[in-house]
Amino acid sequence: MNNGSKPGLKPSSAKRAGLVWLLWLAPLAFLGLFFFYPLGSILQLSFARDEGNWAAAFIQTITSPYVLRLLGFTVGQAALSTLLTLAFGLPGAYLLARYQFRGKALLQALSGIPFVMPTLVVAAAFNALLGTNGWVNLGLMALFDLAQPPIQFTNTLAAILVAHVFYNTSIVLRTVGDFWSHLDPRLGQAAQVLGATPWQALRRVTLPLLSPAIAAAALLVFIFDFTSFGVILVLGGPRFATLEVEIYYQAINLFNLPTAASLSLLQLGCTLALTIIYTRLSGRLARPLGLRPRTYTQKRLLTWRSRLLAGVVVAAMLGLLTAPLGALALRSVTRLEPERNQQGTQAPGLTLDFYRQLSINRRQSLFYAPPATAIGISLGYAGATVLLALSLGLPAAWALARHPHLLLNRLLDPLLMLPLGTSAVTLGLGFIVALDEPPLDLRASWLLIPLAHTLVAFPFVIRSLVPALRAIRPRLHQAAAMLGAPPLAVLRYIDIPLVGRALLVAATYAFTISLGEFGATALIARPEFPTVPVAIYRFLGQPGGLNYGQALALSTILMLITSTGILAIERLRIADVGEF
Amino acid sequence: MTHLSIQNIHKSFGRAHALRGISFDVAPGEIVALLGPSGCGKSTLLSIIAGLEAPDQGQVFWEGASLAGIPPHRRGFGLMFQDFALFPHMDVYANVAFGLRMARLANDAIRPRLAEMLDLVGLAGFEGRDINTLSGGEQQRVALARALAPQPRLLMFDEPLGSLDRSLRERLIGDLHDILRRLHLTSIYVTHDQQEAFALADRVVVMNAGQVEQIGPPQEIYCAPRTPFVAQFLELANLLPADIREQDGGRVAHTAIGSFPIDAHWLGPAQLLIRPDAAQPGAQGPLVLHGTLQDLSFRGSLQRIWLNVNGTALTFDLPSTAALPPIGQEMALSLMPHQALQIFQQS
Repeated sequence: MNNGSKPGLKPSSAKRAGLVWLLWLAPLAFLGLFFFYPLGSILQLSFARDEGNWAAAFIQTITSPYVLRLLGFTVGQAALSTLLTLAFGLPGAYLLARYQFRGKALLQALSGIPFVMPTLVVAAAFNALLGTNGWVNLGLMALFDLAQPPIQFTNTLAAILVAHVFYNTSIVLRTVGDFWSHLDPRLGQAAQVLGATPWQALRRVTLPLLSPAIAAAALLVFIFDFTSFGVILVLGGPRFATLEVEIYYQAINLFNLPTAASLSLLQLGCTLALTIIYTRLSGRLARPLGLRPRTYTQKRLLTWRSRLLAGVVVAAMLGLLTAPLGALALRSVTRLEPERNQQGTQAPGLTLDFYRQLSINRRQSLFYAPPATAIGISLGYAGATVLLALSLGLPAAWALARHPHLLLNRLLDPLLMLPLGTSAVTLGLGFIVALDEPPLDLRASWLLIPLAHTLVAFPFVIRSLVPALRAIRPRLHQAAAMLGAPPLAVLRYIDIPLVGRALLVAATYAFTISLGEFGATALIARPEFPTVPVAIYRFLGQPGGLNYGQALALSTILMLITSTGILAIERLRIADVGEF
Repeated sequence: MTHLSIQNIHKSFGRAHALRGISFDVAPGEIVALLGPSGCGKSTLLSIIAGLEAPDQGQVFWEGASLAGIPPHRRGFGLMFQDFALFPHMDVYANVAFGLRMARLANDAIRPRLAEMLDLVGLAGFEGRDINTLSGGEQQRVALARALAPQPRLLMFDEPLGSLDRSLRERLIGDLHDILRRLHLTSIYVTHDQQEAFALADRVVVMNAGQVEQIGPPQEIYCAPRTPFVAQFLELANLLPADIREQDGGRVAHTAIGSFPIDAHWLGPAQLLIRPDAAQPGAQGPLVLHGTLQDLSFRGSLQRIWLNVNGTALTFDLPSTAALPPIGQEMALSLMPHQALQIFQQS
């Protein structure tokens, strides 16, 4: 039956548009107040310095050699990171797309972990593996009896690039791999029958077909690398600054809000343009040509070549994934040098001290809550973020899922993605600039942080809700009715479970993103209410093995929580095509 | 006794008339196929019988009582959807058990019934499987088991094999035929595929543009199509414009390729059907066509030829064993006089 497409079955489009507006009301009000208004304030601040010629100050700032060099480095490192991520991710995407093997589901789930891993945890993990005091250097020093750590990893460009690859490979795996896995393999075979070598078939048929997926993945990776903050701050050290880091310095260390605003504006211009292109591209991914079910497109690893490929790719993926995280966890329970404290001298070895110390307020300070409190604070903020993000995201996602072709929806859809391309530091700065005076004075309010986290999580919430809501087709309601289900039973057995799973996935995204968010939080968190990433950053900035150990202990806790979250998401997905 | 009676159903969507006065009855245990091209209204009719849509005019009766106003879940009918509409958040067991749960059956009663159903459709042991991992054929079987499980009074199928490939379809038609006969289920089967309709149905309702063209057993439909549309839809392709005149005390159809004696009780414009399956090579008999063998295609059980007669290409299906001249040569075909010709009045 194709009555779904017949004209008489839908309410009039005017009535539909009215309903859809109603759904959009709260999400749009939220975006207006907490996204566009703060960004507008940045704009105003940046342009308001010179009364006569409003753009002069802005242009002078962004064309200064220093800023141009900054922009050059930001673009350069992002481009380099993106290329490396593609080079690393595409073979993996191919393997996951075309082959069926034991442990694949687990590998796929694991590969999703870095994506929601807080940047500071990633930074701390690489530090624990390759840093001056990291396992590799310690091992080499012990092995060859060296006085100095042989590998200089921290504060190098390589550190930044490796962390970015670690962080974003899952985007390539998911975006390209998903698309590839549904692409009919017969297309490539057809090319070979027509006389193309396997390499030509790949280059002339498969790659062009994949190109929207590759481009979308590359753009998203580039956007994330372009606005990278925690990784650069911790692993890059003082020698390297991206726009994002510089905005933070200017705002927090130098308190030069106008310059920070100008830089934010520059960055915003770049990322928003990229985000709009990305939204267009990923929209095209939604209706690709003749996608086939996976069972049809995948084969087993039968040839020695495919086994070799699988071995190398799986080993590389597992290595990149587990080495730093494992190093982090191990380092958080290891004391390297004897340390003196109230209980006397502690011998080196395995220890849970760093975890125990978390609940002690060693500074006896009013403003510095003990780190254990930070966990409680973070969980509270994450809970609030979940509530906010779901209650705002559900109506918008509902509108998008039910009427995908409505003009209103097609116009508003890219709007929801904009926070994705807005750096967290810029958001934080916008909050500082805009929300500190009437009519909206939230300076002292704890709400600022969940509000900022909701903005960051919003695109992810929408993108995980929409496909799931789309799966609830009217046909399912009819099928249930035909099997004897009265309307209430349809709601109970069909709608609520389906929406429920989608909500759980979205909630998990919101929760983990809120837990790990650092860029915006670093700017707006009140000192007496630090979140876990803020506490980690503080510990990393202080000398001593105990502080370092505590930073790693906190990172490990955060890593465990977010990994649990992402593994739960993998289990809860209904359709195997997700948009992130 | 009639089970289901469909009386004068009209339905339009905006300005499009989907159904225009459909009436027919279904007897207990009968399998009726609704056959027609896409857009002919057959699926809309199914929705109306199911109660998913209301007719603008006309009524559906079950054992003499009108079903107007009775919602789908209280009709006790089953419907198997074209895209199966399996619940994506439930496993095979929960999908098939859904109707039984709705009927408030206890778990102890559900379990044996479910095993029986899965066994019937050849999916024993699939209980715990995730719906999203099943192949098209397996999903189709789950959908069938789900529709059968609550023992509906009437089971409807909406092009259930449409999305499957040919060989799988062939096999499932056979399975479906066995299952429906064994359960003696009253069924309505919607399809655009004449092979499916003929293979499964006791009676076929041919529909076109919202109206019934012909109702009858498969053999009758095939051997005696009542309208040019039915003939064409069944790929009986040789339809020629004709003019019926009196000649030598009988009636003759004049066409571009000659005159044919026919039985007709009217005079004037008409359409003449020359059945492709009622000819054999040779010049014997009263009705002989001479022409050029234009093309030939071998189909296994038969060979299809295109014969050019005075500039008109006619199609014929000949036995595979028939000896034919090379392409481009003249040949003669003799038509079986009582079967080969059929005349339709021009409407």
